[in-house]
Amino acid sequence: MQPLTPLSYHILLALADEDRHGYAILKEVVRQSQRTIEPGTGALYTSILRLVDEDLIEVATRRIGAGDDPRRRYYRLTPAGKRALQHETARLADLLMVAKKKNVKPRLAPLGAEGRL
Amino acid sequence: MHTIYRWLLRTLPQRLREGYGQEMQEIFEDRVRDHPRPSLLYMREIASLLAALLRAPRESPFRGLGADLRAGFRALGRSPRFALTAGLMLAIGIGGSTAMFSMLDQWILRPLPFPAPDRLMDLTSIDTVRGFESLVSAGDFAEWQTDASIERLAGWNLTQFNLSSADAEPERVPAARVTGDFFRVLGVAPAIGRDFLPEEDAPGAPHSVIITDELWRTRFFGDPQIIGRTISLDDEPATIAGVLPPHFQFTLAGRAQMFEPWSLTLRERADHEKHFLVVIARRRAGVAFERARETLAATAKSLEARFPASNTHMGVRVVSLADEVGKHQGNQVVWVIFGLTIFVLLIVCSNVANLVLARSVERQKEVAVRFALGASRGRVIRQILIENVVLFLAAAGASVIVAIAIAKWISEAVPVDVRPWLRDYAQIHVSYEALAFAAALALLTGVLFGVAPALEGSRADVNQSLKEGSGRGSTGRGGRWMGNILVAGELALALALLVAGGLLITSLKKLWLVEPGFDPQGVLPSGIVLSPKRYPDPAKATRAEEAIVDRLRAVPGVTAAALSQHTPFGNSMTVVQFWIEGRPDPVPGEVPGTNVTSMTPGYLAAMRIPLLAGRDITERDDASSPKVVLVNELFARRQFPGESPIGKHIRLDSKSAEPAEIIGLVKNTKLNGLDDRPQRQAYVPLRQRPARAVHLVIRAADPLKLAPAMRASIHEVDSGIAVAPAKLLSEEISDTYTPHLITTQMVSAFSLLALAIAATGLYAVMAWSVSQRTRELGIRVALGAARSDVYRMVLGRAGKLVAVGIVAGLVFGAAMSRLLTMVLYDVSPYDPAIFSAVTIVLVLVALAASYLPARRASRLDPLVALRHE
Repeated sequence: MQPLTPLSYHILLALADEDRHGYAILKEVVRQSQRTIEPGTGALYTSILRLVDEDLIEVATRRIGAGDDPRRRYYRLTPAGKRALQHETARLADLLMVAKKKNVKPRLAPLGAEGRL
Repeated sequence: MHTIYRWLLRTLPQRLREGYGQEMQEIFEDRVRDHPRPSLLYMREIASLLAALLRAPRESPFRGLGADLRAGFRALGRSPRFALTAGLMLAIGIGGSTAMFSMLDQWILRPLPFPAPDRLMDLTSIDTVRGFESLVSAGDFAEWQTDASIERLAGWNLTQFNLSSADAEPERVPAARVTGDFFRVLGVAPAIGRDFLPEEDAPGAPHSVIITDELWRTRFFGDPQIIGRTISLDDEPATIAGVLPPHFQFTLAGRAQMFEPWSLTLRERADHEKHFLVVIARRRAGVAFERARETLAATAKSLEARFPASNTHMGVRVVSLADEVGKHQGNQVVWVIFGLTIFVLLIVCSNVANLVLARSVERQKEVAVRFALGASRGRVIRQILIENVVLFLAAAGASVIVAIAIAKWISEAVPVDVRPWLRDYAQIHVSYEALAFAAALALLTGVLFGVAPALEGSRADVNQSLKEGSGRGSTGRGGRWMGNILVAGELALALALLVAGGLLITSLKKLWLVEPGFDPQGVLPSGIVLSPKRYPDPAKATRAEEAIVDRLRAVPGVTAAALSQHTPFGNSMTVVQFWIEGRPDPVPGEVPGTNVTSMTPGYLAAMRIPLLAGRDITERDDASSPKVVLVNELFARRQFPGESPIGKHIRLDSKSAEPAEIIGLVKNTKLNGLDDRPQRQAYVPLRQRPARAVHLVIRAADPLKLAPAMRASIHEVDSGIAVAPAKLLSEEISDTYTPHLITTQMVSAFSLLALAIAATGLYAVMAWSVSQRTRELGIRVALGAARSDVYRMVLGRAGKLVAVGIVAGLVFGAAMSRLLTMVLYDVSPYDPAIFSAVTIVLVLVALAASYLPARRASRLDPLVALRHE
């Protein structure tokens, strides 16, 4: 299986806990990447289109929560999407193990060090 | 903007557009709504769309794009001279715009580097009647803290410390005193160590400081064990509590390297008289800016009612911190320069459009063949358009080099001492956003300025064109008309730029000729501080200061040495209120203020500040003798109009102070900038008004050479006094007009470039029209037209273009120069001399540009001309 692009991975990850509409996906991606990824709308939809084509996500047919916006289209993971997410997560975890074995220490940026929080 | 986005969405591949276009538009609008500074978002979103477009799978509207692109490159390769000229011009135009956009983006568009920067504000006291701004009293500050809109408030101001530690020579370090919440207002936490504790800004608490990353690396060699280390600040022990993150920069505090908690005593917190705080604030989340302005205004109103003696007419001016930062770094100038670069780009583009137009005429035969082979008009237009876009994109690639070079030039032109006051230390990086901007600009201009020539070029009549042997068809009226408009437009823009350049140069020249009121050549000032710890007795400090001056006088090469509490361009001042003896007390809020400085005898002579009347101070004016004061011309004119101030008495500082006799009148001196308006100034003897933070000045033929001797003299008196690095007074002054200088140089360079481009544009159009009319001119000459008639015909045509350009350019220039008002010194933005001078320059250049084609036309041999196709 091909490694996913970071943005695709983040989109799948954003849909892992609940179905979301486009803007919610975008905000979740920004949040969970701690602002390291802030895709433009064009980039987001190029990825969504590809993920739909590859049958990893699909448009959710039924609504779940009461707080949902009925005008928006919600996306959800397909079974294949869930598998892809698991594969990719495993791949990243393996990579982390290799890094740990080679004694590569993560360097945490101090709060505010990046200037833009 | 939303419409532009919708329009751009339409260019997306069909599947993306139809499947998701509506959603994308909605999200774009949501993001704009949620983003604090949407302008940056616009750029990013458009870049993202372009990227989506380029990455799109091949589909119907883009089929054959690759082939067209290849054809475009081939076509450009076939006419290398055209490609090179046009490409080079475009590279300069786009590169300049990109560099300026980088500057704009980095300094202005980007939010301040603090969390939730839109909630940060700058608060200042303001005289609601006269409009004067002033620092904030600790009393007002304490009251503002309770305002409902304010989450946190912090006061601060600049200072300097003698930093000494066991292992190194003492050093003068620029610093800031800040109230305890300062870093919490900004939302910044130290990278190492901790923020100030609440008890640390209580009076009498042990000193602690937070230092910048730079000071930590340079002075303490990045010592990881720095936290808790004790250093000595002005001979008081202080503990290092934290080190700020490397990217921390608070431009308003400029060079400040250390931050010390400022403990305001209860007495100070109840005092509304003394104004000494600069105040920043963080608004509560969810409170709109306007709302905060209202509540603070109400708070100020209630203070006016409660403290009429001090707070009458005292309001509060609320601006966003970003605006305050922008005001200090001259954002308006950046906008103006950015606007002017766009002008240059427009000129370049219209010139290239003209070249494309001329070329499309030559290519009519090729186009006709395409039509004959069954190409649709749309396809032909697209082909021509793509050629343009290829040209513009190639130029955009080359423009990156131009942009980097310009950005580097600007970064380096800013003096080192000025850099800390500018965002990112004035280092301009050509960012990805800026590159996206360049690409977007190239695409946009390529399409915009390519459409008209493409439409024109695709209007070939197959039969007509193919029949003509030479391939040189006659142009449609439309083509000529468009070329004329483009050239007139270029001339107009060039004239507007010349006006701007002329105004700025005149302004800078006037600034250079300003009499500062003293002679800065050969003067080396040097600030020192005698700490209260070491010199508890002010008289003892004065004696030590005088001892230093005496030693300096004895240094070989020093022609004069003296000391003053404040020197012009020394970045410090004291302003006090004063009362005139024998006059009724002014009402509260109307008590006048004056700059005041203590000095030793000989200071006026050392600075060459002319004494206009009365006498200078002498050694006999000491603590035991009656108080004396010298005032400047403005003081005398304002307070004693029409009479001599000599012999009058004033009380400085407070109504109950001992009155001082005015013994002398001196010339006004510039204090902070050559464009300063004169201010009241008073000079008093150091012995009568001791000061611990003072400036030594020496005058010598080559004073920098004497800097080590100066340092040695100071250390002979006290080895614990830190001496700041030597910098000539003349250099301090030139630093203040550097922004002027950079602006002027850039705008002048742009305007000359614009003139040159417009002139070549005019030449090209005239040369082309002459070549088009060869046969006609030949007939006229054959029928007996004189050479002068031909000249008149050709030049007359050029004259019409130039006239239209000049009228439009003058109107345009006048509209634009209004924007320059704030950077101009002593020059009216409508100065008729400058307007007429640049018009003459433009006319002469235009004449030269059209003379060559006219001469060629006049020398036509009718026989040759008539054979001409």
